[in-house]
Amino acid sequence: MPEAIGLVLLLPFLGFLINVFFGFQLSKRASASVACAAVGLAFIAALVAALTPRWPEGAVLKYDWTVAGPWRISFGLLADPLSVYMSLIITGVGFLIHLYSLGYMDHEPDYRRYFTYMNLFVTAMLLLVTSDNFVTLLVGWAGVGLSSFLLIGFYIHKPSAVNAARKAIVMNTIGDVGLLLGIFVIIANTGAVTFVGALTSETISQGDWRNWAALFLFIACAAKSAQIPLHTWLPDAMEGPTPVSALIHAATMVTAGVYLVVRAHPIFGASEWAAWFIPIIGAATAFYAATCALVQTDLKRVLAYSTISQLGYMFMAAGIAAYEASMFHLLTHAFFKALLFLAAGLVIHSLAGEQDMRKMGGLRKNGATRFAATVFLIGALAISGIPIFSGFFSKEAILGSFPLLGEAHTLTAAQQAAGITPLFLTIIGWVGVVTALLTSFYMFRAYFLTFEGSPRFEGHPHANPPNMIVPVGILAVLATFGGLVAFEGIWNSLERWFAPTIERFSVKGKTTWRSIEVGQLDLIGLVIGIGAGVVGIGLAYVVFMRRPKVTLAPSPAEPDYVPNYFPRAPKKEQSRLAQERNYIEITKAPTGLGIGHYLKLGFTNFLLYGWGFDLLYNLLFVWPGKGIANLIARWFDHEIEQAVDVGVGENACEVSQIVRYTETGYVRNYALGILVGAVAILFYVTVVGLAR
Amino acid sequence: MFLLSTMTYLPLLGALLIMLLPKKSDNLIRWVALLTTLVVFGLSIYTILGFNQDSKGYQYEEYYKDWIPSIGSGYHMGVDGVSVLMVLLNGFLFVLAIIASWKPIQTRVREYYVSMLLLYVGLMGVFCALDFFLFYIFWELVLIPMALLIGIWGGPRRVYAAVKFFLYTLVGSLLMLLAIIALYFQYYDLTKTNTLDIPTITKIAPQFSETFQFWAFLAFALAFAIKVPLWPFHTWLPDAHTEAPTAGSVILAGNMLKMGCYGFIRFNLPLFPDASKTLAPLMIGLAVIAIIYGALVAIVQPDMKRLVAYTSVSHMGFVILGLFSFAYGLRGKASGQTTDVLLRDNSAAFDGAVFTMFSHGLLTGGLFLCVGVIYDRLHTRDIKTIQDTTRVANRMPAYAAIYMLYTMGSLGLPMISGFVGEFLAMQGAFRVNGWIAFGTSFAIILAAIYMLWLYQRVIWGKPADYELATGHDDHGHGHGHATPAAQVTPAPTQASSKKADLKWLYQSIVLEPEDNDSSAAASHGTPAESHTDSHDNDHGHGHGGDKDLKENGAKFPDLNLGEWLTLYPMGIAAVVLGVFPGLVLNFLHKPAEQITAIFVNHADLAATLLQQVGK
Repeated sequence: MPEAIGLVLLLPFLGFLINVFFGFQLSKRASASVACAAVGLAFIAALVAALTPRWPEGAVLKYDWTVAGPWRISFGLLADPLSVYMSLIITGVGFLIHLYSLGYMDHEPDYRRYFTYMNLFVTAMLLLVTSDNFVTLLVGWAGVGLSSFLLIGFYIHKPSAVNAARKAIVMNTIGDVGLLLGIFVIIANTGAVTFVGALTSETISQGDWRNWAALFLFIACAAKSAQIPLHTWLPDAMEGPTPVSALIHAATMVTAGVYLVVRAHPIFGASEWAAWFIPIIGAATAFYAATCALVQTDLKRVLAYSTISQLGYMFMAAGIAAYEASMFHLLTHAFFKALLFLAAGLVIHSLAGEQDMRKMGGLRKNGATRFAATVFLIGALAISGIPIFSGFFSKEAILGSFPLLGEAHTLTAAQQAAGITPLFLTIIGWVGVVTALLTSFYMFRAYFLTFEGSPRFEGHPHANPPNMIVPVGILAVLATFGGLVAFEGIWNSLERWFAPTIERFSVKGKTTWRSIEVGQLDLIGLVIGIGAGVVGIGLAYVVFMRRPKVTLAPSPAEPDYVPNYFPRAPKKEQSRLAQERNYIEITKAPTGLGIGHYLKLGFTNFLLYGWGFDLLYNLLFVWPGKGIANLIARWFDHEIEQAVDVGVGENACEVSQIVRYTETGYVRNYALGILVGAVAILFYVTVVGLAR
Repeated sequence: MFLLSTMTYLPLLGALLIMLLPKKSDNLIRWVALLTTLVVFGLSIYTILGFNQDSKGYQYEEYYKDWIPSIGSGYHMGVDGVSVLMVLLNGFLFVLAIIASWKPIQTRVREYYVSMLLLYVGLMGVFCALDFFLFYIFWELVLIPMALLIGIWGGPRRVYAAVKFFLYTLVGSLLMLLAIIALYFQYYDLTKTNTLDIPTITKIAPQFSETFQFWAFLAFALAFAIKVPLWPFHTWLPDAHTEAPTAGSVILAGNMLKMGCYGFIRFNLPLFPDASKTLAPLMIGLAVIAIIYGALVAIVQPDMKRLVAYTSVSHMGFVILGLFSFAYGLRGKASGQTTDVLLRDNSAAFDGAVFTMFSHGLLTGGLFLCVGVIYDRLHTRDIKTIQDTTRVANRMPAYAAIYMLYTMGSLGLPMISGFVGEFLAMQGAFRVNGWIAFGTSFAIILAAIYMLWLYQRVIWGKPADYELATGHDDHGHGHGHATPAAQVTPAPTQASSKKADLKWLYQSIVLEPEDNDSSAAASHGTPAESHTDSHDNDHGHGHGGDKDLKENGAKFPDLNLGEWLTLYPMGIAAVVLGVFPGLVLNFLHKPAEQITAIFVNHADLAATLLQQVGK
């Protein structure tokens, strides 16, 4: 029943409205139950929609939204395999995370506010994926940005959270503007805003507006999905509560960019520019974020960089038209990254808010956190692409789309037109392989630092309530076996699932969509893919378990580095920047070391700060921007004021001062004036009269 | 059918009545003013409900041709799709302005409401008048009460601001008067008849020579640009807004700025089509500068109200951008496009401009009301001071919520009215030139920065005070650290809070405004208060850091009845328009069509029209 998609959208919205208007009347438990039930029922509705035997041709549930003269935008919901696929992920994973939040946020005074925002987010996200046109997509797009802002800044008393929230929404607004401009390009050239109308327009192959549209839309994707150069907000977004990080900044909202590329694949797939910049940005981001994740000390920041990296992976695939592989990885990533975040949340919850891995360790042996260790290990194995686990299949599907060994590869028309060679794709593919190696290395670094080795935490971890354990357990099962959903025959189910979407968005029967093919997965590719994961795990084991001193320890003088390495705990209420400054201070502490030590330290810090992007942006935009604004406000605006009103006023006074001298009060002066005037008139009359 | 005249002069009657009332009867005066505005609001609703969206030309016309026969001036009132919307906005905002003045205005109450109602007469008249003479009377009538409102009930620099406001707008209107006289003689030259009737002159307008159009356009444009205000004539606005009382700011932003935009729509575009096309790039350029400039300057303003004033400059830029993108887009006659095609391609810009006019009245008016709420409690508008004083979000949740709505609307969040106008106007600008839309899009990013930064500082308060207050636990988990004090859960206060609410309602209606008891009662009973308590207890640090609450808690009661009645209806209206923009846009088809017709056919049409008029 495709109409159920309306219910999918409506239910979380109702939950939101109930919590907004009656939240104060409801008890804490009731308010949370409403929120959870709304998302849970929406999941059931999405399942009902998924069982549709035949997908409807047009939009279901239409409504005329903007009627500007003869030009109109109608609001409609699109029930097609792609939107239902996304809805299932959002409501399914969303429901589990809502359940988890019941326990995690239990001690929060602003319990209702939290669930209100969460339902708002789910509503906006569902609107984003189910709308049938670009404008309501923009509505959802801005809506998820808003709820993300509200949830990152949920702890309004934390300076770091407040700053992170503002940073996130400014970056996201840049994306919104990109989307807006993209929509203008599309309207100007196709005259339509609906996906079906705009994306199947024959004008896509004419002119080069598709390149501009792809560029502007990709700005939106990059901002939302934290791709270089608009990625800096996501690591900071970890200031929000952990379930928020799991839902918004890992499983759903940040994948909206991937969704948009796949949804608008007739434009992206036909664009020559996009054929270059999407794979390059995707691969660069995947590699960049993986290197940053290598040295992070905050458990959630490791996962944040990992998310950026995995999103880069999805864009790599989407950039070479392997949309199906991209969507597949989106699904499995939602499972295992949500699992990793929630497992991290279990640990953080047990340790009463501790996020620093340097103050963890040995948690596997502790009864309260043993479950967290197990599920985190499952997540780490999945993201590393170890066989059987879900990540293995999707990662192989992506790597298999690239000609890793330079084998024959058919280029799409756009790629040919853009002059892309198979060698380029091979290089991009190998960046992916290296990233895979780094990924398994940093994931297991995180695992070993957190759960293995000797305990470095203070106090006793608390056990977690069952309403936190159960959702994590379900996600662990999904992260393990979720990859098998594509396993009918081999790799065929998704192709069949997406077939109606592909068909509907074909331009004149042609599509750029590439399905995952069995043939892509040759044995060597498999060996490379699995090998990268295994090698990474092995390296991490060697470095962090066998010879732990090698890691970040700057002081070879101290054999037992841990207590000395962290002589002072960073103050919790300090901002992130202050914490990092503190960290540098600590790491600088040991003296009498060679240049090599400082080089290593500098490199570590370079990675820790995300290659200094924040500093760069401050230098390029924030500080000059503030300076210019101040200059204009305090000086220029004042100057205009002076020039226009004070200036005019004073000049008028001066003129009247001059004119004043004519008013002498002497009769002789006036008589002279009359004489001069009379002569002038006479002269004029005579001359003009003569001339006639 | 004297509907328009009734609406225009009822406030005058109200003002006269108030003048007759005894001096001490402040509350009676307020009620008379409120009833007057309510009746007019009712009439404006009646007007708009009876308005036929599909008929061309003016409706509810009242025409007495021989008002002042010697100069050909008649008493002509009437509304079209654009002005009927402005009439409704007038009606709505004045009711709210009267309510918003209820408590803040305690001195010279009678004079205040008389000025307010006289202002109302002027504003209604400006949007209804269809005769230049009449129009000019109303236009100037607006000036005096507004200057009085700023100069008497304003802030510390009120006299400076009032004089500046007065001089600026007076300069503009004098130039306009000159242009009106020039128009009058030009019309006489062409037809040998005297008239000041606006529709009549509009019919002949395309016959004007290009030079005349050029200069007359500039004269009108200067008058309206000052009123809008367009960069670089905007400097009176921040001063006037900052010093004006809250209700004055609402009317100033909501209705008076619209007079300028309305002038562009009613006079500049239809009277001088050629000049509009020629000068469109200039106007678009100024609009783009205004949009970016206003946004940039707003970022660093230390005063809340001044900040909002600069956002007005930015948003009104979108109106001008839309209008002249529309005019520029209508050049198409040369390329042989038909009216329908031109209308389809360009009407979005026009619709966006008028929609922005309407929604800006709601959103910016709402923002000024929000500033007023804080000002009434703290007697400062300095952002830093407010930030350092308290965390408003905890004290006043209802206020924080509605302020969030206005913030989001103002920065262009979809589903709130601000977005629709900006979207349509920018879409129109994009058709003119992609780079214009690209340039203005920076203003949207800047808007996110200044609005949200303002919100965070004012509502979320000073983050650093967290260190003093709780100093533990990143994640708000009081897990295992909760002291017995945490037993003070919100639950027991639920019933009592409801009771307190009723009491508070009663008190806010019955008690005198300055009575502090009502505010104290309100602050203790609200659920949010008990929240805050349990929050701090949760962290096991007692009330050490909550000195702030003890000192300021009583000073920050959540919204009182009057504030509820102003802030929430306005916010709801903004959301309704954001979701159903058709409610407004449907009124704009015919005006857009008419202007398009003038632009496209004017050369051919003018000749035939001239003959008709000649007869």
